[in-house]
Amino acid sequence: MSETFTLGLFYTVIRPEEKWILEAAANRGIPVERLHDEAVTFPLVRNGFHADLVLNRSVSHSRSMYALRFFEHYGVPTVNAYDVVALCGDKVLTSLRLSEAGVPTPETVVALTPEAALKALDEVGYPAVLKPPVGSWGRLMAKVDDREEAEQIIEHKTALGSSMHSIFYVQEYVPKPERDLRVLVVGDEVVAAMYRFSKEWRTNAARGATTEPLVPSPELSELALRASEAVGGGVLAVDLMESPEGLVVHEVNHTPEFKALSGATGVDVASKIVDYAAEVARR
Amino acid sequence: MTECPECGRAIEKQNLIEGEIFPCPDCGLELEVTSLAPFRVDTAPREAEDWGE
Repeated sequence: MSETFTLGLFYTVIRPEEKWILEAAANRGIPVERLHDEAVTFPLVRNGFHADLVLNRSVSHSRSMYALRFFEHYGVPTVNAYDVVALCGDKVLTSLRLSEAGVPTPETVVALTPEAALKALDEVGYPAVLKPPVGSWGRLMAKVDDREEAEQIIEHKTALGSSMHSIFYVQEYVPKPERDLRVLVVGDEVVAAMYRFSKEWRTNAARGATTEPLVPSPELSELALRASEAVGGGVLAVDLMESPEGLVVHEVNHTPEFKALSGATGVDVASKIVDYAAEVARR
Repeated sequence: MTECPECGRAIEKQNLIEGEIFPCPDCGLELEVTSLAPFRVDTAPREAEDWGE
């Protein structure tokens, strides 16, 4: 298949995922313009790049945010769209949107000061989970077992001094099996799903969780598609937990890694993403 | 051919591409291909607070 558009790949580093995307584009005859997030500059008037569509693979949330807004400003479609990344990159905004869309999600309380954070934890009840609103790979999340631990963790977070740790995202601790579920949605299709197993409460592949393929049930697919649609759609990894009350969506990731998912399921995720980008470019 | 900036192990270009990250086969340090011609590698960028998926 030959395409008439140039795919811009906005990236930080070339991991296996980006290498597979480059290979998938090459196999389809799609020219790729590589846009390294450490090197690109963004004037107010488009200049210096040719891509007709930009696929965002930057691992930096802040770089992604500004870059995607610039591409939007230049009239260049992006996968994912700026609004989707803005939403999914912020756990507070994601929770609000999922709740507005009626997608089941863990009970969440947000606090804006350390004092209010203690109150929020009391409201949610112990154990609870404290997360930075922006961040990934399970980094700097804490399972808080009691009030004494809460006071210590909040003191440490306050001492870190960054704005990211001055907003407190408190979530109920969901007593789930030693696994969660990841479903990759591309456009309006569930392309692959897997279990992530961990003895630890965090089940991120980046933290060493082991994986197994999963054939999604109609209920799981429907919920993942609803979550994807709620945040604006695109290429999204929906993370779910099996709570005693049923499936709950706890995260929607906007620039998903898929090395573990492709490895577990054998699905050529990179090709799915490139085909979707081509479809968006044709719109 | 170049070498790992940490342990000095010889690194061959093989089918690496510019920007690719890979572990040094000897010391395990994460490396990044910074140039293909001439072939150069450097320590891969360190993970920042807002990095993720």
